[in-house]
Amino acid sequence: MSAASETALTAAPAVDSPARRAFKRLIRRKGAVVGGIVVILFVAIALLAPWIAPFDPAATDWSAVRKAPSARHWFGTDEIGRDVLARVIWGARASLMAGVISVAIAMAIGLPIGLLAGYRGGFLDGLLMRMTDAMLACPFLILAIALAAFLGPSLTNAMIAIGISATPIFIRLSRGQVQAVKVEDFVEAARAVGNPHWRIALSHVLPNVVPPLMVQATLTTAAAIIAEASLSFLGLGQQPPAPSWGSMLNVAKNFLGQAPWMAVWPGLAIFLVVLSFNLLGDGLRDALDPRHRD
Amino acid sequence: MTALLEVEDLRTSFKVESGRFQAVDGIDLRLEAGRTLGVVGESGCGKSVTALSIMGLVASPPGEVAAAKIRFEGRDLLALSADAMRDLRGDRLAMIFQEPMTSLNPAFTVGDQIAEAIQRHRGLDRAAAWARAVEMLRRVHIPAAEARAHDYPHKLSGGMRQRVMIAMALALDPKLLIADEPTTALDVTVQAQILDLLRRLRAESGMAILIITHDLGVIAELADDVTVMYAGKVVERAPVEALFEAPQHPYTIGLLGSIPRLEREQARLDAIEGVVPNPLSPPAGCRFHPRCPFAEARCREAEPGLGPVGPSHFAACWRTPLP
Repeated sequence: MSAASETALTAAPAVDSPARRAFKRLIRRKGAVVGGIVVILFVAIALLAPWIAPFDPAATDWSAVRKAPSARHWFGTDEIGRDVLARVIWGARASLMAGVISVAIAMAIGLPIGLLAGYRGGFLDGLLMRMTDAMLACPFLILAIALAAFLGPSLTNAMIAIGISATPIFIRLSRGQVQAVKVEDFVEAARAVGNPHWRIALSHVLPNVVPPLMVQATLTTAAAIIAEASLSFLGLGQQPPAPSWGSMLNVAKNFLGQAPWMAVWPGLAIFLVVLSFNLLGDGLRDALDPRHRD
Repeated sequence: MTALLEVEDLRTSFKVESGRFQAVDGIDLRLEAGRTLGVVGESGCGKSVTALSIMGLVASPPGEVAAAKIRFEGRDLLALSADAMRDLRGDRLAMIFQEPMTSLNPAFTVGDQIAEAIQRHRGLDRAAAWARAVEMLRRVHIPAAEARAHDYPHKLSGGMRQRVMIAMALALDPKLLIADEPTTALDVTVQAQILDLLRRLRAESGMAILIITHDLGVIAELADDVTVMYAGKVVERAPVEALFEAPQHPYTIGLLGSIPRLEREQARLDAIEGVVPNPLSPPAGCRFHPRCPFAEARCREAEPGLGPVGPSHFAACWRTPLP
């Protein structure tokens, strides 16, 4: 190598980490970028709810019951005169919190179990996997409804129920990924320099199973938001008068003929958030796919 | 003189559905400090498993390592605890692998990976370990080592990655380097560079090398002594010159004959007819007899032991020493 090109190499700072390359691939995908922007927008709305909501979401106004959208109430009002826009804005908190926290619960339980089962293998793996199979045999939403009904209706319990219902997917996925990674040559090489098992599992295997888990987490967040809306719709999630998109829809279904705006806006919000998380998840999957190396 | 590494009657087997797969079937190895022993044989003859057995890296189950003796620096490796073995690995006893493209963790920079091994064994702080990693990269002749240490493996070529693997293996000045087909996955020109590098590093550090390969060219370049393996057994053992000048076992002769030569005009390469026998049911008698052009009746009935055929030269064949 010539002296000149060597200097050029030295001068270029090496920041091309796998995460950065994946991010570059991600922002080349239009769907993912749009999804990401909408997700960020909704997160901002949820965080800033107290400042941007035009009304108190629980304040009733008997002089404006079931009013169509107007300059004063952009999204209209509901059956007891509450501002629908304010409730949709505050509802974003319940929905996003439910999505993120329940996925965090599922990851926090599922990843360690999957890592242990996949790395150790043998009897322990068999036992854990049969238990996971048993849980997977129940449909996700049914299991969440049963658990939420058992725990009692509240948003916290709904999040726990959804989190537990989503756990087996994360156990399965992380176990499979660990099994694939632990036979890689670099794991053998890590053993050959004398690393103990815990260290190989945590610092050599774990970082390489994170990408597919991120994709799954994003897609599961979308499913969890729908699950929260379903539970709230059934009265098992967010309790009135606190706003949630699901419970808004539950009330709105009684007035579909007279006040369709009561249903349209929360429905649209659910649709947009879920679509965006799915677009983002698909984009992440493509960006993190090892077959798309560039 | 006591040997650095002594292996006696090593038997490594794997449990498979249809029974026990005897990958290594009673082999002896002896390697003195600073010397280089080449182990040569076809794919599947058990040479890589031999290396993994010495390193204590055979997964159990399904693998099972048994030996009369595996002594390294006077210590019985089979009697060491898992912890003591881990302390030895990477420190006194290092290994490099066949596939440099997949032997580095894609999630970390190469500097990190070398530094990790150093920190693990020497308890140095991060900065000191990093400095040592960069120094090692320089020792294996990686240009702009300082900058390359910050690179992720995907930015390096196969030859560069194998240099990184060598740097990692040698970072702690091991007494013995086990190199399992270190050049097989590389281009011929890069192969020559890596062999050259290994030779230079051996001279600098005085380490012993156990080199495992199917390539007699590599053996000729690097080894002092050679052990030829066939179907889990040693069939010939000799100093390198004796092996190339007067090979005794028909298998070795076949291996030497299958090397293409520039000075010979040849339409086809000479190959050894047939395939490696199924290790689940090895042939009776000499394991090589179904493929041996000189096979006689007794070869089918009894297995020949390793017998002397010259000074420090042994072969396992009924017909040796050749007239």
